[in-house]
Amino acid sequence: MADIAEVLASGLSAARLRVNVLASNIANAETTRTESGGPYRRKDVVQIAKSVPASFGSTLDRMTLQKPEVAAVVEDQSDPRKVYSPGHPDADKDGFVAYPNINVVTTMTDLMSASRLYQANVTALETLRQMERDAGTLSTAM
Amino acid sequence: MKPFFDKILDSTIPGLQKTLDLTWRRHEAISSNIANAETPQYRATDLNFAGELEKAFNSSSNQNLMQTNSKHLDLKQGTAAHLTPVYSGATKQDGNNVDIDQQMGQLSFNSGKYSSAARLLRKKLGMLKFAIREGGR
Repeated sequence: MADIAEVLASGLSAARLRVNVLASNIANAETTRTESGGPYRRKDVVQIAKSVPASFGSTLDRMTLQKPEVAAVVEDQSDPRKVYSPGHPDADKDGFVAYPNINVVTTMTDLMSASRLYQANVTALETLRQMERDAGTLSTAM
Repeated sequence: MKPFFDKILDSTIPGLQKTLDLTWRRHEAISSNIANAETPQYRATDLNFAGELEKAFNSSSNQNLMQTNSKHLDLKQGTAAHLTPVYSGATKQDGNNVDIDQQMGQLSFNSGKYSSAARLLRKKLGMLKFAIREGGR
């Protein structure tokens, strides 16, 4: 019973982290200089499914639930977008400025889909609570 | 003791209990799918509700395995509800085949089934209570 709340809770934190990473990508879409040098690099979430340590009952019923977990946040290693802009302080000797390889439109749609996923997890949690409440009313029947 | 209770307690109560149990498990399966809607390589899982319920009813009437020792597992209680991977539906590029809209629909349908079963069970118990109380008058 507590297992599934745990699965949904990790669903929530994975979705929240995804929203944070995508928001950081949008915010830094034009960042040409970072502390580590070079332009900002697009960050991506590596999400894995991890089996929840099974209780005896669920092992007996072959119910193994999997919870999502963020294994790593990786940086995009592809070449930055080059824009010809001589005079820009970050321009190279040929006058090109390296911009992050970020498509704001696709990142925005990914952001919306991640926030919808967060809401979906909330809805599943609310449903769980409603079902627990329904089960609780049985005690008043007798 | 048992034949007496069998007369009062028909298969409604065990049936509703099983329905509650199975819808709960189905909720777990659906929740796991929703939580993993963006996990690469995750396969959606589901539970064959109708099949499991039928199995529960048949196992309680047909195959009455003897319990010669109180430590034996009660098969009626522990009818395993297996989660099976779903192969239908489009698999995305990352190997994930969760259809989030379908899952949300199932979620609402399933929880409705759970509260209906709980309400019916409450009514049934209420009727028993009525019979017990009013019988004394």
